[in-house]
Amino acid sequence: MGNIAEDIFLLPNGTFFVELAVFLFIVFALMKWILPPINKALEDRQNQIRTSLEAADVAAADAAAADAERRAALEEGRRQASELIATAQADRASIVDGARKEATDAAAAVTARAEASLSAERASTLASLRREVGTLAITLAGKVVGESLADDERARATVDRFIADLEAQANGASN
Amino acid sequence: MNFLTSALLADSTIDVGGHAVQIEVFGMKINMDIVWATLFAAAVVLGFGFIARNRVTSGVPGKLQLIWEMLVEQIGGIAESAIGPEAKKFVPLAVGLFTFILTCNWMELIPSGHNPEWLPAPTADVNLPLAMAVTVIFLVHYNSIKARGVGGYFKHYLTPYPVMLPINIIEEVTKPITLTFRLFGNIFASVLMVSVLTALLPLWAVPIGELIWKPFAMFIGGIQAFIFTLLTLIYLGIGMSTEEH
Repeated sequence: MGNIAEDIFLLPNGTFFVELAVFLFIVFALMKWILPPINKALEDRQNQIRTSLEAADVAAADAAAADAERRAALEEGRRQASELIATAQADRASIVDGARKEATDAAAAVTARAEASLSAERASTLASLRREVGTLAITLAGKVVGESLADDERARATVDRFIADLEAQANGASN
Repeated sequence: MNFLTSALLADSTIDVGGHAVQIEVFGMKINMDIVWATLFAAAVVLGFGFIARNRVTSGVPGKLQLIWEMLVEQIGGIAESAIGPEAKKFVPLAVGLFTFILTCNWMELIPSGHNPEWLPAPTADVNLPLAMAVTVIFLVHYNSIKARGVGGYFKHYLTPYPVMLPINIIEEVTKPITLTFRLFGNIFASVLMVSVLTALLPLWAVPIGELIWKPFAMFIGGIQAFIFTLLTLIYLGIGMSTEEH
């Protein structure tokens, strides 16, 4: 009977103890020598990754802050620039207005001066003309009638009226 | 032609469960082919383990380190979901089970051209699956008593109702048996299938049959290694849970 049991391959035999010893040694070796360094390397790498992720987060926050700062500076710059432009535009307008006013004033002064000068010259010319034409006419009339009319008040008045008529005609023609 | 046929017929005698070398120590038979195949598998697992350990770096890991890290992380994740915060101390056991069983299972793909094989898959022999299952079940009960106390451990056999006691006992007794024979049966059948293919198919069709079967056998090997590991973690989780069902 014993021999039959030994020959049935489904039943264990002495090999069991050898197999048990080998298997226990494998588990022991894995537990003691092989897996701890591999586990340590895994944990170290995970820690490294966690640290670098945190560093990346910090860097991202820094970058965001720097970006916000840059935007603020840009905004401030834009605001200052537009203020400067507005001021410059206002200055330019006032400068242009001043210059225009000055030029207009100068032109008016020149015109007034020219007019005054013209008017004075005309008056003096007129007076001189009146004087000379009157004298000439009276002299001429005296020669025609054979007597001197130089002191005659009426003759002078006639000459003056004649000249006034001439002036009136000249004004009517110029208008 | 007659010579070829007789040679094929001679080869097609299938030796089920036979061993290339068997010795006797203290009246116990030891299957030496299984022993050296187991030692070979252990050397492969530990060899890759020590190579990875010596080159370990917390910087950019090499391929081998990456495989070990992936195993530790994946199995650690499963362990944590099955057991909880105490899972960490069982990760080496689970990683050892998975890598060792996988290596043993895939050894069936190495042909020696002899029947029985000179380098058989150790998991196709009942002794290695039984040794692992006994270790696991011992740990399950030990940790169960540690987590629940002796009273809590025995009280658990009466849950949810005392009438369930026989079923609970049967369940605990069958756990190591099912764990053993699920792995052993699958790999043994997978190895046997190659012999059957060789014996039944015409000579020219054998390579085609093996080409189809061997990738499937690899798949079975992976699945069985995963199932053994997963069940170990689930049994530990159930054994250590203190909440009432």
